Amino acid sequence: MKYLALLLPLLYLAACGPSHKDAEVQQLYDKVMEVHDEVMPKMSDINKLKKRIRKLETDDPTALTLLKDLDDADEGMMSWMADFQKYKTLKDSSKTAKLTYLNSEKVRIQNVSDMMKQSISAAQNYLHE
Amino acid sequence: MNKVIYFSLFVLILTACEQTPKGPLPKIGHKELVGTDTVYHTIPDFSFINQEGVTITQKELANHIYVSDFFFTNCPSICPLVKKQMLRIYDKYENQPLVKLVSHTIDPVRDTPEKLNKYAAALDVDSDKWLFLTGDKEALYDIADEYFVPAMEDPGAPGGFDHSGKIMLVDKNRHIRSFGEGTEPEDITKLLKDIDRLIAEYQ
Repeated sequence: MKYLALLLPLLYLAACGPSHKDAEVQQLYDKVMEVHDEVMPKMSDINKLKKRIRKLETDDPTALTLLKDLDDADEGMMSWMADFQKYKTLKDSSKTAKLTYLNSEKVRIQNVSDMMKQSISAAQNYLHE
Repeated sequence: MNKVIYFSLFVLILTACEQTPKGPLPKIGHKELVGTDTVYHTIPDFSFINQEGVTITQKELANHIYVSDFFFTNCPSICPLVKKQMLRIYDKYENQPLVKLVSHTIDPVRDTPEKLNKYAAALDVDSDKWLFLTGDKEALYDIADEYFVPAMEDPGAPGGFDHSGKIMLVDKNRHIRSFGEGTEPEDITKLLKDIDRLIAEYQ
């Protein structure tokens, strides 16, 4: 079922997405989306953790840092997705231009993924102490 | 005589395969007993802003049934699929005033009323029929849980609503009556039948 949820958008993009038909470009695009798709479902975890920490009504600086890290991770993902809309405008660009863009986006989304995972596990550890 | 039997059998088979169940749609989600009354999961009060900059609360939807989903305009993967199915629902009930569509953004930072207005304009949909709502981020996430919790009781359901394209059907009493995966057209075909059944309950 989970695989289907992942497969469907890929199928859709393959069929209806920007026509970046080159296999190498497509492969790299899929890699970028794979990183995104893995952590996107964790966005609601971030929101739930923020809420739980705020409920403690603590002014413990550690908690405040955790809240900020969660916020930054959430905003990191949201702004990455907004920026990534730019890919559509590269539809008629050269293969090299697409690969260059996707390679830099792969680094960016990997950073966002790391930020999300780190802030989530730090917050979970704090709440379980 | 044989002909009559064959004909009856034929009719029986046809009616046996009838896909639309009769009677009212069930109410979905957690229920509890209050005194002697059974209370079903109910969508709580809310206050958001639509693509025209107008405040929308439960009052504006009180005399309608509606389908609800969560999206954001920069969503790269699932939302375009769900949007297509929401458009199917819009097209089918465009002239049925009982039905409304309500899409909530989970990215209110970027999805301002102006941005949602442009998005709706690109879809060429009526702002009174299909409401695009934005507002306080936490309130949006919280109401998402209220819509999805009943659907999430299925242990096989994927976690994290942000990436789930569920479309929920809500009745006039704010009870959830059906839902479908907005990424699966066949599921929405089923949902359309449930919308018909719910409309029939109010006629």
